Amino acid sequence: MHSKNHPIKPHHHTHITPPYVTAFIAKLLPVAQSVKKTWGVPIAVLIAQDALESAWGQHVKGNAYFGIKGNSQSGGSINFATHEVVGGKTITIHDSFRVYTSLQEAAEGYGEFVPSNPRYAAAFAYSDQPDRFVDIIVAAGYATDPDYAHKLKSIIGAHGLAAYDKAAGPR
Amino acid sequence: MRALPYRLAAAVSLGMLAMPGGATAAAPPLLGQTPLYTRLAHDCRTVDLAHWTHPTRQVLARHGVTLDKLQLCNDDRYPIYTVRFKFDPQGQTTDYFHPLYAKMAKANGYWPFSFVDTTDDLIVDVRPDRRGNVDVDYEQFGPPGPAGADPGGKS
Repeated sequence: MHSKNHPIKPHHHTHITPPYVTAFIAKLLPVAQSVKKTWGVPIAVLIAQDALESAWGQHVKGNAYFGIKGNSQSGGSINFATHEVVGGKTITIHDSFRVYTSLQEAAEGYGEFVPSNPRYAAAFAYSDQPDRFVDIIVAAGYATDPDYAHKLKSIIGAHGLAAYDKAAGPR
Repeated sequence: MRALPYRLAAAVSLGMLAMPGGATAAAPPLLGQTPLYTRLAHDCRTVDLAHWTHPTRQVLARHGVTLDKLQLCNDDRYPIYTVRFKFDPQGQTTDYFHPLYAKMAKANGYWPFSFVDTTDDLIVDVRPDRRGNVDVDYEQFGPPGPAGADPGGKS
């Protein structure tokens, strides 16, 4: 039987998982399990989402894991600028992203963010089916990238992340 | 206006908000009690959309934004657009919203404005300046309780 606090080794894949990926999953797993218990977000979805947005924790500014806009519960935010050209004029948009003191706090913040938005309410009927959960939140408008759901599900599949939700049992 | 089940409404009245995951969180303020309506905007009047034409309306239409209500506040210098977005402004949607904010800023003559996004219970404050910088900020608001309409007025 798998321990809930250690990564489950994928059984059907021959590629070698980089050590930083294994370490990222191991670090995030306990808080992802706690977030699922508290907020209902599937463990696999939380890990895959963070992996995609932070490149497995390799590219994060200000602990702005998950890339959620606005202010964190503690009021923290970091500004990023993008440039748009409208009618020949360059307009610089300064947008704020939630920052946290740690990866764990960021995961808790993400765990609270998703169910607090009525847009995603239907997904919570599938807390134990990560792929279905992903399809619903993306269809509801979480991302503009038409391949976003596929990217998340690829990460879930490649690293056997759905096994963590199975091991956790139904909510 | 969204009707709330009795237990959820009671939780909101107690300052707690129930989530689909079964947890609770501190409830955000009602729309009428947000900084937008208590500090930023005053003397708001609702515009009759049937007779309203403005360049910003075309920008919203081109981006597929549903405009439900327009209020003009602060001597008609501060518009508040009550809308429904097809995407979550706080999600992985920068490539949709930043061009929208930039085009709205230009169409509005680089004056500040706000969106009240009733799909996400979210206020988006957009503050341009004349040099071409646009600051974006967010405020969450809670759904109105069973006692009646929120004075901020989603409807």
